[in-house]
Amino acid sequence: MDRALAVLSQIEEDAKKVKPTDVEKEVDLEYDIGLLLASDPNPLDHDALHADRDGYLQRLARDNCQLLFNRLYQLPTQTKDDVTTVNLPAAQLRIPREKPAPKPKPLTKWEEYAKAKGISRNKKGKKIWDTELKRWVPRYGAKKAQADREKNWVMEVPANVDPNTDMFAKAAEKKRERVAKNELQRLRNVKRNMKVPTVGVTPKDVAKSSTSELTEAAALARRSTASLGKFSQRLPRDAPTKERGKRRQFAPAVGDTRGEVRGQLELLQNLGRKEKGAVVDTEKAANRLIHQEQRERAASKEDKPKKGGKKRWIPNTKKGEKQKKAIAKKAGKGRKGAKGR
Amino acid sequence: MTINCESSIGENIRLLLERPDGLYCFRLHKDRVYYMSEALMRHALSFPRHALISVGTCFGKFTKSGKFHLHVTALEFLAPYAQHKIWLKASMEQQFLYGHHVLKSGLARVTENTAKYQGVVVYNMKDVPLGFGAAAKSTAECRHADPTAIVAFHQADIGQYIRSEDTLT
Repeated sequence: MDRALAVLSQIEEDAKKVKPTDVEKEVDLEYDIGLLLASDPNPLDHDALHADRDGYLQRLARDNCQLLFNRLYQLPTQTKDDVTTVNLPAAQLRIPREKPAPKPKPLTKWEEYAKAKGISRNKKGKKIWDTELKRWVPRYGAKKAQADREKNWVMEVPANVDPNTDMFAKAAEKKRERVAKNELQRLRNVKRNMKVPTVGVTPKDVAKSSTSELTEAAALARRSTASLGKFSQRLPRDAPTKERGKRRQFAPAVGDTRGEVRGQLELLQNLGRKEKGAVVDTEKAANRLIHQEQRERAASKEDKPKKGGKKRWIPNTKKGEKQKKAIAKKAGKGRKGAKGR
Repeated sequence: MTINCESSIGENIRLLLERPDGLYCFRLHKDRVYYMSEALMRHALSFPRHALISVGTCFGKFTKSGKFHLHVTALEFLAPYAQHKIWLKASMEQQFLYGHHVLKSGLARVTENTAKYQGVVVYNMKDVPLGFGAAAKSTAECRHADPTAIVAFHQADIGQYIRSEDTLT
């Protein structure tokens, strides 16, 4: 009796720990078992949400999960090796593509030509009527080769060729060449369409690689981690790697303003500094030369006799007197300069 | 940036940074260079980048190809320290303020030893700074140019305060 009571109380306690599998909902959930999806159209209880947000949401999630699992358990099960499995039905919801749709394969050279010319493929039959042999011969294959040998049991040697040539060997060689050409063209088409990885390739033969290739490979290995090499250990003698992908480096906006000012002033000093060994101020020298040339030109102009000099009317004022003096001075200078030279 | 500014005002640019009334700094924000005091800069940090339009004074901006264009808003800071100046006659002054280049006929004075394509500050006859320009001819060449030849290219002028009021930052 006591034992029975103990067992019953144990069952009760266990039952209390676990929440019931029946869940009451106002509106039933919408299920898509194929995708293991259950959507709950019931509105949220805002009072409960405000009172105890996390608790309410956890209870809600637990209830909905329970309903989904109830549905799962209704499906027919299969047991194999102590594992119970259930076959999910087909998904009803259409999920959009994860990756973009595949692009159409690029046309081969012949296909492009055929399209341009408007040539369409004629469906050829497997057998061909051979007029010589008077029977249906397959278009390709061993039987076709056999039929060819039957037809060409003898091959003429034309007049322009050396009579001792083996025509059969020649024909075989030509066939081999045709096959090789076709194979080459096929491989070329394949190469055109194949994508060769250009980024992240490490050298195959380490002994024959250059230093730059090896350093690149080492850097690649270092950053091929989930955190892109941020926490990779660096060897003590490894060269520090360049910052990749950062085109412009900016100093932080707030920092050592005084230091920044100092740096800028130093930069100014370097800018203003003359080049090493530049003792001559080229501009000044050029200007001096130009000035000298201008003076010579002006002097040579004054040497030429003036053609009927226009008489300038000068007013009889202080300014006018000054002008007269200036003209006289200039005239005198010019003549003197000419005589001097 | 320092190259262009420096060509305009030379050594005296250090006076912009070594000011007695505090630390001033240049900051790059969305391709424009702003000049502000350090205190103002720290205040500006509390704004998100897309919301910040302007801080302090805009000195100029970097173009897409990396060149630096001086804006007229920098005039009052750079004009006192200019080493190469151009003085305009009254007739040319109006034309310059409308955005035209400076012709030889409007040139009154130019400082000695101005190299070709040197950055200059343009003044009027009353020594009022009008804007920035670039010398199209060196001082020696200027003397022998025709009256209709351009001697200075217009870069920024104070007329822009009215003309491009909505685009100045």
